[in-house]
Amino acid sequence: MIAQVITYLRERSEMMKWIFFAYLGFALVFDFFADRHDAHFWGDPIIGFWAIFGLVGCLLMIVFCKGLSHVWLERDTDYYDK
Amino acid sequence: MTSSIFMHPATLFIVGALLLPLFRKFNAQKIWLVVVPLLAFIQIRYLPESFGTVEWLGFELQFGRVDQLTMVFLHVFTLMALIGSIFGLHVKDSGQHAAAWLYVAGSLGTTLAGDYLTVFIFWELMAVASVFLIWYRKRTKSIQAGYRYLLVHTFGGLILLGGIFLRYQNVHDLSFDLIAPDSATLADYMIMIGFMLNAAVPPIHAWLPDAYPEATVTGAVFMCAFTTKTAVYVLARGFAGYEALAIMGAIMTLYGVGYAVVENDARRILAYHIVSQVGYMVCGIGIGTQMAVNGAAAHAYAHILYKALLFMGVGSVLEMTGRSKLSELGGLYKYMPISLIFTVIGGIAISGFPLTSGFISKSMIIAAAGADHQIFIMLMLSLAAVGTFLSVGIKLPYFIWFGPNDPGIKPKEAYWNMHVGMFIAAFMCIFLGIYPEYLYDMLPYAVNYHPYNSYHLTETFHLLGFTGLGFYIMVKYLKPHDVSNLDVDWFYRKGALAFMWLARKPVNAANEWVSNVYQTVGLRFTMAAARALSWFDWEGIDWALDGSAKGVVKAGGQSRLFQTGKLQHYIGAAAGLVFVVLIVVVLV
Amino acid sequence: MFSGKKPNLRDSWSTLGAILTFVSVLSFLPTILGGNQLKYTLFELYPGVSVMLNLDGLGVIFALVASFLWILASLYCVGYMRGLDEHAQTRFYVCYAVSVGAAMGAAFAGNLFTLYLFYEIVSIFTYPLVMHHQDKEGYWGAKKYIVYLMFTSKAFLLPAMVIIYVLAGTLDFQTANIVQGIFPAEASRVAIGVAYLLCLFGFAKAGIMPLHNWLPDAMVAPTPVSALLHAVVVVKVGVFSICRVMLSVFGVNVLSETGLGLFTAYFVSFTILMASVIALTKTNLKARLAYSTVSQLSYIILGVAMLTPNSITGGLIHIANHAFAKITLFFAAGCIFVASGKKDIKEMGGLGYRMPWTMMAFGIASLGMIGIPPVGGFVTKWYLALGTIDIHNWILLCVLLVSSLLNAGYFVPVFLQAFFGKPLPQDAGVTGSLEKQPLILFMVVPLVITATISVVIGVYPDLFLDLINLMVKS
Repeated sequence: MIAQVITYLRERSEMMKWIFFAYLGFALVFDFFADRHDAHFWGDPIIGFWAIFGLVGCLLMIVFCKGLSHVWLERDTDYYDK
Repeated sequence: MTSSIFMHPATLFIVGALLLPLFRKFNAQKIWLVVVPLLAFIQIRYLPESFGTVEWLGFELQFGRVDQLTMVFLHVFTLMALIGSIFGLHVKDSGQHAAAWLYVAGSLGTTLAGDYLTVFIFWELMAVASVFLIWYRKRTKSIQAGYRYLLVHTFGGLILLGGIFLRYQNVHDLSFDLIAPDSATLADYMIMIGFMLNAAVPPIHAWLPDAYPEATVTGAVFMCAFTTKTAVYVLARGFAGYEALAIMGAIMTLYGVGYAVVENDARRILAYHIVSQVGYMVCGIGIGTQMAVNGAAAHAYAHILYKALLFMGVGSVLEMTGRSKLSELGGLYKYMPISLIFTVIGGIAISGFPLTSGFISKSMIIAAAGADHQIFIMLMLSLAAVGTFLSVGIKLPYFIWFGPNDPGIKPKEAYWNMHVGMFIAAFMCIFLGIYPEYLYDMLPYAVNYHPYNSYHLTETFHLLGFTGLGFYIMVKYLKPHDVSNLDVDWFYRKGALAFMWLARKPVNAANEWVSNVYQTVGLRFTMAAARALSWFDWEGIDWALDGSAKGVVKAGGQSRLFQTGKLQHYIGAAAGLVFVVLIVVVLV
Repeated sequence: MFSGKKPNLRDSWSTLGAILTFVSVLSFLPTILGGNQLKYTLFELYPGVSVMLNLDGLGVIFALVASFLWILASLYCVGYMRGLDEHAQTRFYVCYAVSVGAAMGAAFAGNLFTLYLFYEIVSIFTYPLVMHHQDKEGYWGAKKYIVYLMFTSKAFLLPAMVIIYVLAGTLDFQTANIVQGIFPAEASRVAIGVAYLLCLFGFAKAGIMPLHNWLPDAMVAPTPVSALLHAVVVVKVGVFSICRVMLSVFGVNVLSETGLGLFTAYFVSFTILMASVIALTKTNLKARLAYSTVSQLSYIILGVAMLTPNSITGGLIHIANHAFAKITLFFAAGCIFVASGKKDIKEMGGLGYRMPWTMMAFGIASLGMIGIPPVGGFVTKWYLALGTIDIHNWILLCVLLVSSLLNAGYFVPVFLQAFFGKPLPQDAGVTGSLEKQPLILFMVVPLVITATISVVIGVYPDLFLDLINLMVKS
């Protein structure tokens, strides 16, 4: 039954995409109403700070780590047995 | 006093492990597997504050010391033992269960220990028992991985032992309590390093991603929980507030998650991720404030549950398909949907979605960092949270259950007991998310943290949502390939090969040369001496050595080997020499 | 000897003799524990040179261990010798008995001359045992054996005894305490040093490098010989003799003044480490165990050489701990050979399922050698480590820790192969316990007993600790 639900959703991937972007928009809007009295550091009061942090952080992490892997650390799985 | 040993939960597991084959014979193993951890889970509530003091080798060992910090760990350890045993009900081999329970016993024993010697004894038990959980997989790679694991842990144990000895020499006291950072000596740092090895702090962490993917399906579920979290407990007990730990913990979170993002084997991803999450705990301990230590304990509790859940999910895939590499999996949602749901619950919990245990625990540490004005650390931990969601929350389930691949495998759904185990863990993840007070009441210090405030919610929504966006953009770049990455274990793995070459070639050659010196020097000298003295007292020896000389003659009679003849002379000469000495002494 | 024609009677005499010996040693125990010593002079050759016996704590430990293990070994011998249908069993049992008896004599020796006499008797009567198989290998191994032992004892020990007699006027051991020794205060330090070095190298049975090679090559002997004699009696006579000489002839004071104690400690550290490294490279099980023995013996000497109460305790208690663990390991090796014909670790894949008791006992004994609680070896390592801390010597502490790691490195693979390794193609699919035949049982039961005792003395080392404390209190 779960599988059927998932298949159903997968067939409507356009719809899923719109729901997702709607969610992102909702999150940004929600940020305006969030309570910010307990600021720990400079980034806290900025609207959407964590959004950018998340996106940029994610992208940078992927590029950096994958890059490091491709350039240097990547080996065959039986590297030590040779 | 010995009677109080029986109330020790570790005894329960040790005796339980020894009795397993008996229960198996009567087809009651499954019942026993559930009863024992359940008993332990109940038993821990009735433990007195201090028990099991024993005198040994002139030291006073304290097997039982209980306070709030101990209790929260005991609680989750026994719960985890129950979950793990249920997950493994389908395994018929008693040996695997026995190993797991001895491992649990080691962990409980360490947690309850009041002095360093007891800590060490149970520390070794953990290492020796857990290596079997790797060896039982019986593949050549697993056996080698287990051997490396054992050597690394023996090495760590020896550093710990060295530190304990030196500390004893300094303070003449073995009791296990907080060591103030200013008074820490080399001995204490050695102990800390021994603890850190088990906590998988880089650079002595490489054993974890090396060994955990090679363990048995059920064994890995146990292993992910106990070794590292016991190490977290002992660090919390002895080394809270050490700034070095805060920094190393923060680095750890990023180090682990970085590898997790690029690895291919599902269990190796999870193993590296353990390094990352334990980093949060180590960091919290290092910050040392009450909120931070609370956070570390809370996170340990929550992490055991959701990491085990993830290992169970991925483990069930391995069990049913025989594969764990993302590059070989995909499209399993049609065949193993229940496992999918549970794994996803684990994934969102670990990422810290609202209404899950991650939301109420991990963020406590981040908030503690902020409250302590350690901004850089706070940002590092938050970045690691991004990576966590990316690697374990999205990438892992995506490529296993969905993914662009279609390897064409059609596995059956996992066994019922695996689902029960996963269910219990998933239930707890959500339960704690909805009702955090259950966990907060167990924590060592009073809790002033309120996770459900609008700021925290918005922060989480943003972080997770936009990380998801990032994945969506980069999904093609993240396609898994059948590769693995080098880590610091390169040094000792290559180093060991070099060492063995040295041992085999030069050292053995030298040994052989020394061995043959006797022929040139020794034999010639003794033969010369024998010839010189053989005339001296040939008759005199008969009365003393007749029996043996005749025996030797009889034995050697058949052969015509050169040595035998000489040996006759020689034994005679030997005795003769004795008399020479006597005569010399008399004359002198 | 008289029951040669009736094997069962003969073997019973052997076991009976062992039991009687053990019981008689046991009967001395209460007196010694009470702090007394027993003296008995057999005959005197010359003032200061006599054959004299003296029982004290150290001697009793050695005698207890050796005689008890002889009982088990004689049972084991039955299984082994008959299992392989060995020839000349009577000669074997006679020489075996005399060798152990001579070791007892050494344990109870009251002076250096008596010790030397019994030491030589052990060498002579173990020669036929090493040579037992009477094949080319047997003769060659035995020849090397006797040359090593005789050469060193004649060339080094005799001159040493002469020097000591000249310096001290007597060869009797200092029995009142272990600090004084028998040399008068004005004795020449150089002469003492020379005599000491001659003794150290003269007692080659202790296997200190570079005079250790006789041991691996003596492994051509039947395994009961390797087990009791070369793991327990012969090598322990060597080590015991060195300890006795260090404590009761030279004494702690002289050794620490002249720096000979520390010198010995460093010197044998080399043996400890190097022998372990070599053991790593050997795949023949008995060879690996032989090099392990070489390494472990030097622990005993290291302990005594560090000259503190803790370290001496560690060294002396290792006489017992090592004996029980090592004999278990050798018994297991012999049992494997009789039951399955295998000598090489590479062939032993999966053997653990056919011989579970044997391999489990092997595993437990290995834990002891590595030094993991609760098996006996941990107590040894603990006291030795405390000793290194007492003298503030981090190098020796590192030696202890590194050697433990090396021990793990060469013991673990054996156990690993037995339970998780792949059997040879010709053995694949063969199941069924190899341990159930009666002759094999004669071998399995003793080794399980010794493994169990290893654990017992690991948890309750009190008996040995009390005996050692009597010596060390001074």
